[in-house]
Amino acid sequence: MPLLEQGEPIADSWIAIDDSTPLPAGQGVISLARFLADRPNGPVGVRIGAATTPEQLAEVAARAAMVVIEFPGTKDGRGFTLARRLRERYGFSGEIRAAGHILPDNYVFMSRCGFTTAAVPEGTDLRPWKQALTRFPKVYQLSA
Amino acid sequence: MSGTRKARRAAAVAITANRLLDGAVVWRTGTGDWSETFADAAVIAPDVLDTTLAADPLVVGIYAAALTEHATPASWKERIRAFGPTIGQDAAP
Amino acid sequence: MNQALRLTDLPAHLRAGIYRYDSTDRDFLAARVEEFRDQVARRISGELTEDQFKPIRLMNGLYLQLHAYMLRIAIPYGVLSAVQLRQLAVLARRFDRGYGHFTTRQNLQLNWIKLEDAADALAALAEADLHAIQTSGNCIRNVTTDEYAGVARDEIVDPRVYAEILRQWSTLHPEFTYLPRKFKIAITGSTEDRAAVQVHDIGLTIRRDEAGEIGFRVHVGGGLGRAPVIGSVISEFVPEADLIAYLEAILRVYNAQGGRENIHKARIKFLVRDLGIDGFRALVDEEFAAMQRERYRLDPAHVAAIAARFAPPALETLADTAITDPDPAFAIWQAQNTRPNRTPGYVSVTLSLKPVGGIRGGMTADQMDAVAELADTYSLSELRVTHIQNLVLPHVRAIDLPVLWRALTALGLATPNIGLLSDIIACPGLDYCSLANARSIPVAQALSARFADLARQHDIGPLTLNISGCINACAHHHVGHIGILGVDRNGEEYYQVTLGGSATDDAALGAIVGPSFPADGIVDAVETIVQTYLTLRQDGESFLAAYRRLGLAPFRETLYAAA
Repeated sequence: MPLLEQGEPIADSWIAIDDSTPLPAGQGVISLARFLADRPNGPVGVRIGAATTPEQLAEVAARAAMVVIEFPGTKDGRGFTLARRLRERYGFSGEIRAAGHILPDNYVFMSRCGFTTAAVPEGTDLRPWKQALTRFPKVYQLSA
Repeated sequence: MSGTRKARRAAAVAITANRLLDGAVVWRTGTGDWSETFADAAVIAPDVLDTTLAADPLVVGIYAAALTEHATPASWKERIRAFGPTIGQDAAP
Repeated sequence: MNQALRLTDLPAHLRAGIYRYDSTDRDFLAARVEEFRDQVARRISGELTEDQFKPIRLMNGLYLQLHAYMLRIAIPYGVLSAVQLRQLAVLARRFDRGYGHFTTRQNLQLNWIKLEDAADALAALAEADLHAIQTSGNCIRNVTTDEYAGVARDEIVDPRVYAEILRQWSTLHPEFTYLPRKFKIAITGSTEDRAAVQVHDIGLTIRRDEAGEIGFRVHVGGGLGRAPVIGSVISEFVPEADLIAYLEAILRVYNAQGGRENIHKARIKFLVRDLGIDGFRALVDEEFAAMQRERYRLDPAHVAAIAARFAPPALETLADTAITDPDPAFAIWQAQNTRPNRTPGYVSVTLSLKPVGGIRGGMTADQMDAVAELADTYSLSELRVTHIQNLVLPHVRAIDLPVLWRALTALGLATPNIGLLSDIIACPGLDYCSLANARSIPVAQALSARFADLARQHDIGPLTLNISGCINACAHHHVGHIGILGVDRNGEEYYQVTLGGSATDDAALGAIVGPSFPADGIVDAVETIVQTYLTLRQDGESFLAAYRRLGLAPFRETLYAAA
C-alpha cells in the first residue's frame, strides 16, 4: 500500500501487527486496545479509530511513536479533530498517518490538521494527490 | 430507495433516474435506452424489478417509480418528475 | 452589460459598505473553481463514484434535484452589490432559464443547471467575487445576519464585520468540513433580533460589557427541521478576542461527539439535548481551556481592517422630513415597505418579491438588471437579501422615494405587503425539490390570491405565514405565526398547520392545531384561522398576541367544527 508524504511516495518503515502476533523488535503498529492493555515499551505505532476519546488520545500521545488514524468513510471528519488534538492539545510530534477511506480532495485538510503521511490504496493515481497540496496558494485559518 | 420499496406493491412500475450530465429525468425504454419522455418508458411488472435495476454510468439514482393501473405515475412526486413543475416549466415569477 | 466588472473598478463613492475581495480571496476562488472543474471531470470519467462525488459537489453548492442540478449561490450575510446582481442575471440567462429564487438563508438558487456547465457557472460567479462554497454539505454554511446591518437605528455593533470574519474562518476549514451534519450560524448586532439567532446551530448576539468592550452572547443547539428546538445560552459573554477559539471549541466537541449513525439525530441540538446544556458546556470549556488560545486570538488589528472595509458610505447631510405624494397608494407603500435609517434623511426600502399570485422570492434576470440599475441610482449600488425572501435597498434618500416607488411599481416590486399575510415565506417544495413531500409554491400563490385585498391585509395586521414542503423546514414553518407543513399521505398532498410560532426575540415554536388538511382545503383553513382571530381580537391586538391569550382552543373549534 503506497505511503505518501508531501505528495510523494516514500518507503514505509512500519509494519502492521495484528492482535495475535507477538510484537517484533522493529517498528510495529498495533491496535489501540492492545496498546492500552499491554502498555508496550519501545517505539510502537498505534492504529486508532474515529471514536477514540480524549483520554485515550492523551495516552497515545504520551507513549506512542506514531499514530495511524483510520477514516471509516469519506464523509466522516472525526479523524481531522483527532489529528488536531494530538498536535495541539497533547503536543504529539511523531508521524500521524491517514488511512482508510481518504480522498485526494481532502489531502490538504489532512496536512493542515497535522497528518504527515497518507496510506493510499494500491494502484492509486497519485496526480490528484500531488496537485492537492499546491492547489490553494493561501488559506484562511490556522493550521496545526 | 423507498420509491422502489413502494413500487413493489404497485400495479406496474417504470425504471427512472436522473441523467448524470444534466440531471434531467429519464425513463428506461423497452430497448434499454434512456428517454426524457415519460411516454417512452417501458411499463413493467413489479416482480421483475431485481433484474432491471443494474447501475448505469450515464445516470444517477436508478429506481422503480410506482405507476397506476393506467400506467400513469402514482404519486404527486412522480407526476411532477414526469411532466415538470406544476407552476410551468418556464414559470418565471 | 454582460461583462462583469470588478468591484474595485468602481469609483469610490459607489463602493458603499461592501466587503471587497482582495487578491487572497480572488486567488483562493480561482483555485477552488479549477479544483471543482477537475472533480467534475473525474466524476464524468467514472474515476469518482456518485457516493464519493456527492459531498464534493454539495460543498460547492450543487444539488441534484427532481429535474436538474440546482446551484445554491451564497450571498454572504445577504450583502450584494449591483455589479453582483447583474452577474447573477447573466448566470440565470446563460446557465438557467432566466430566473432564480432567493431563499431564507439569504442565498439565490438556480434550478436548471447542468453538471457539464457547473464549473463554468462557478467561474462566472467568481468574476463578480461570488461563489457557492459550503452552501450545502455537512459543513459550516453561509453565515446570516440582519438585513439592516450597518444602517439600523437600534444597532449596537455592525454584525457584518464579524460575519465576514466568520465567513473567512469557516471557508474550507480543514477540521470542520466533514461534520456530522450541516451547521448554521447567525449573528445579530441590534437590540431587536432580525437574524433568528435562537433557531440556529450557533446564534451570536453582539453585546458590550460595562467597560464598552465587544463580546458575544452565544446560543447553541437551536434549529428547526424534524425536531425544532430553541437554542440554549452556552455563554453570556465571550470576549471578541476569544470568538474564534470559542467557536472552534464548540465545533471540535461537536465534530468528535456529534451523532453520525442516524442522519435525523446528527445536528448539534441532539448532542446538546443528550448531554444537557451544562454537560455540553463543560466539554466545551474543557476544550477551550486546553487550546493554545493565543494562537486563535482574534487580533484587534484584523478586526479593524475588516471593519474598515465596511466603513459607512459617504452620505449627504440631510434632515428627516415627511415625504408625501399625491397618489394615496404611495403613503401605504411608504408605511409598509420602508424604514428610517440611523442617518437622517435616509431610509431602507424593501422590494417585495411577493406579488399577488407570484412565486415567493422569485426574480427574473430582467428584474435583476432593472433592480441593479435602481441600486446604482438610489442606493449607492448596494442591496441586501432578506431571510424573508425579499430585497432591500439600504441607502435611499427619503426625498427619492416617490420616484423610486414609481420605478418599483412598474417592475412589480412595490406590493405594499412587507410583514403582512401575503409576505409568505415558501420553499421550492415538490415542484423542484427532491426532498419535498408536497408543493409549497402553488399553496403560497393561492393564499396570496385569496388575501389579495391589501386593505384587508392591513386590517389583519402583522402576520407571518411560512410554508415548508417537508420536515426539513427550509421555510421555517415552526416559527411562523401560522406555519404550514406539507406532508405526503399515500402519494397525496396534505398540509399540517401550526400556530403561534415566532422567530424573533420572543422566539417560540408553533403548536400543531390538529389533523392536517388536504390540498384543496388549506386555503380555506387559513381563512378560518384569520376569521377566528378577527372575531376574537381585542383592541389593537396582533395575531400573535391574540393567539398567546387565547391558545389553540378557539381555532380548533372553528377549524374542525364541521367535521
